[in-house]
Amino acid sequence: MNRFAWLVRREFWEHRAIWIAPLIVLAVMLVGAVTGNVFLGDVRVSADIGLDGKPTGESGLSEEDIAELSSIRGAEDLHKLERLEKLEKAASSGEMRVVSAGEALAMVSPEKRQSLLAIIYAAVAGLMFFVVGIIGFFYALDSLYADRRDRSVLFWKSLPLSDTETVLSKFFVAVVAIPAVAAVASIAGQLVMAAGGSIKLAFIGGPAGLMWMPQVLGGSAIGALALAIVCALWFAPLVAYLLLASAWAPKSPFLWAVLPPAAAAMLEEIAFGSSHVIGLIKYRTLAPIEAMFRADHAKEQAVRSMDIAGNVAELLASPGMVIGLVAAAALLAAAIWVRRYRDESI
Amino acid sequence: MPNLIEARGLSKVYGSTHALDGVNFEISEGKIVGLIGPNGAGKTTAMKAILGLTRFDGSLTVLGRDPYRHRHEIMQDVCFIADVAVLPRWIRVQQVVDFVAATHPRFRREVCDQFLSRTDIKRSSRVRELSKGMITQLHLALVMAIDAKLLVLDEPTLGLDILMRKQFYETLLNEYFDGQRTILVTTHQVEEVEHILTDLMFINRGRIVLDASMDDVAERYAQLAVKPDRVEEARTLGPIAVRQGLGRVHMIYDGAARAELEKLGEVGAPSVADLFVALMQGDRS
Repeated sequence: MNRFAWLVRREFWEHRAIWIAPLIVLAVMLVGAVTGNVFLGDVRVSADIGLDGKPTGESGLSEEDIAELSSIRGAEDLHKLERLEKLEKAASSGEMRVVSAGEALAMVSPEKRQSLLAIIYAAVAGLMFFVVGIIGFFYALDSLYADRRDRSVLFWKSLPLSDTETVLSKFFVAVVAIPAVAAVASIAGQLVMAAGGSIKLAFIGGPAGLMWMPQVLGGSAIGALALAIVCALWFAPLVAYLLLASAWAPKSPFLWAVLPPAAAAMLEEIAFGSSHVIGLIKYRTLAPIEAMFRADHAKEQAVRSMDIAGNVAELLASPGMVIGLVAAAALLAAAIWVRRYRDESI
Repeated sequence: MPNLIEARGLSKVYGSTHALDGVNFEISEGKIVGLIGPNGAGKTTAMKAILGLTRFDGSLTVLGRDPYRHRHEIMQDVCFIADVAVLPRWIRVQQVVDFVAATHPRFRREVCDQFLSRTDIKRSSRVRELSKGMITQLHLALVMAIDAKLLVLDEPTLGLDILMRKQFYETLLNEYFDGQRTILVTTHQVEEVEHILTDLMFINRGRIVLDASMDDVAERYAQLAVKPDRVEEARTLGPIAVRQGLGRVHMIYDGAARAELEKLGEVGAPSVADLFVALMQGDRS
C-alpha cells in the first residue's frame, strides 16, 4: 500500500463515524422494515372512491397517493404526525377507510407498484446520503483542525509527509471515499429493505417477490451511484472551502466557515437589498437535491431513480459545475498553503 | 566534521519582541547539544526554525537545506519530540506503528517492536488509555526506530516522574546515540541532561550567551568553595557569581587561574544549573 492509501486509511481510523453511522442506519432500516410501518404504513383511502380519486378499478395510485404513501412512511416525524391525525379524523368520520398494507398493495397496478417501490428505494438512498452527507460536512470541517487542537499536528509534521499530501488525502476522503461509502451503504440499504420488506410481505400476504423487481433494484442502485458522482463533483468546492476554514480557524472552524458567508449575505441585503449571496449559497449547497426533486415531479411512469440519474446529469453539464471545480482547485491550494505555512506553536 | 546545522544572523521578530536576534551557531555531527534558556529566551523559536515550522530572517541550513522551504525533505533525516502531548489520542498503538512504518522510509520496525516489548504498552490500546509515561515510551520507541541524523527534543520529559525521566535519557544515550547522530535537546531540568551532553548552548533574550563544548566549559569555568577566612581575597579575583551555600560561600569564575583558586578553597566544575544561573544574572545586569 502506498503512502497516500495509508493517509486515507488513517482518516478512517480517526473518523470512525464515516463507517459506523451508515451501519447504524442500516440496522435501523432492517429492524424497521421487518417490524414496523417504516416503509409502508396502513394506507388511508376514501371510502367511496379509488386510490387516485377516480372510481375504483385497476387504475392504481395517483401521484398524490404516492406522495401520501411516502409521507405516511415517515410517520415518526412530528409534523407528519399532525397529518396523520388529520387522516385519522377523516377516517373516523367515515369519509375514508383504512386499508392494510397488503390490501393497498393488492389494489395497486403493477406499474404503480414499480414506481412506489422505486420511491421507497430512492428514499433509502436519500436518507443514507443525508446522514453520510452531514458526517462528511463535519469531517471536512474537523479534518485540519482536530490535530491542531490536540497538538498532534506536530507529530504528523514530524513525519516526512508533505502538507500537500496530507490535505489532498482529506479532500479525497471527503469527495471520493465518503460519497462512495454513501452509495455502497445506500445499495446495502435497498437490499436490506428488500429483504425486510419481503419478510413483512410474507406475513401480510402481499405479492411474493414484489421487493425484488430487478429493473427497480438495478435502477435504484444506478441512482445511488449517480448520486455519489454528483455529490463528489458538485460538493468539491464546498469541501475545499470547509477544508480551508478547518486549516485556518484559530478556534471553532464551524463559525469561521459559516459566519463570513452569512455576514456577506446580510450586508448585501442591507446595502443593496438584493440576495445574490444567499442565492449562490443555496445554489452551491442545494442544487443536487433540487435536481432530484425536479426529477420526481417531471416524469410519471418511469423508474424514479433512473430519472435522478438523468436529471442530475444535466446539472453536471452546467457551467456552474466547471466554475465550481475551478473554485475547488483554488480553495484547495489555499488550504494547502495555510496548512503548510501556518505558524504552529510548540 | 560537517556542520549539520548552521545559523548565520538568524532572527525572528514577533511584533516588537526579538525572539531571536541575529544568532550565529553551528552544530556538527555526533554532538548532543543542550539548548538551555529561561522561558521566552527564544529556544522554542530556534527549534521551530530548525524544524521548518516557522519563517525566519537570516540564514539557516539544516543538512545543507533551508528547513522552511524543504521541510518535508529534511524530515526524512530529522525527528522530533515536541513534548509528551503530541501523539494523537485516538490512535491505537498498533496503528501508529503501522502508519509510521508505512510512511517513514527510515523506520526499522524490529527496533520499535523490540523496545515496545520491554514496556507494558499493549498494542491494542489507544493512546488516550496510556499513562503519560507510557506515551513517552511509545513516542521514544517510534523515534528511536527511525534511523535519523538529527533528533530534536523539546522538553521531552515534561510532566514525567524522576524515574521515567532518568530512564528516558539513559535509553536515549545507551540505545540510540551512536556517536554519529546528533541530538539537540531543550529542557528546564538541566541536572538530568548535563551528564549526557557534549555541548552546551545558553540562550537569553534572543542571543546566544554561551556556546561551548562541555570540555571547554569545564576548562574555562571553575567553582570555588571558599574557605571562610579567604572570602575577601576570593572576591578580588572577580567571580562572575557568588552564592551563599551551607556554611560555605561558592564562587564561580570565568577563566581564572586554577593555581590561584586552589589556595583559597576547593575547586571543582560548576554544575550546568549553577553556571546557567550565574550567566543569566550576569546577562541581566
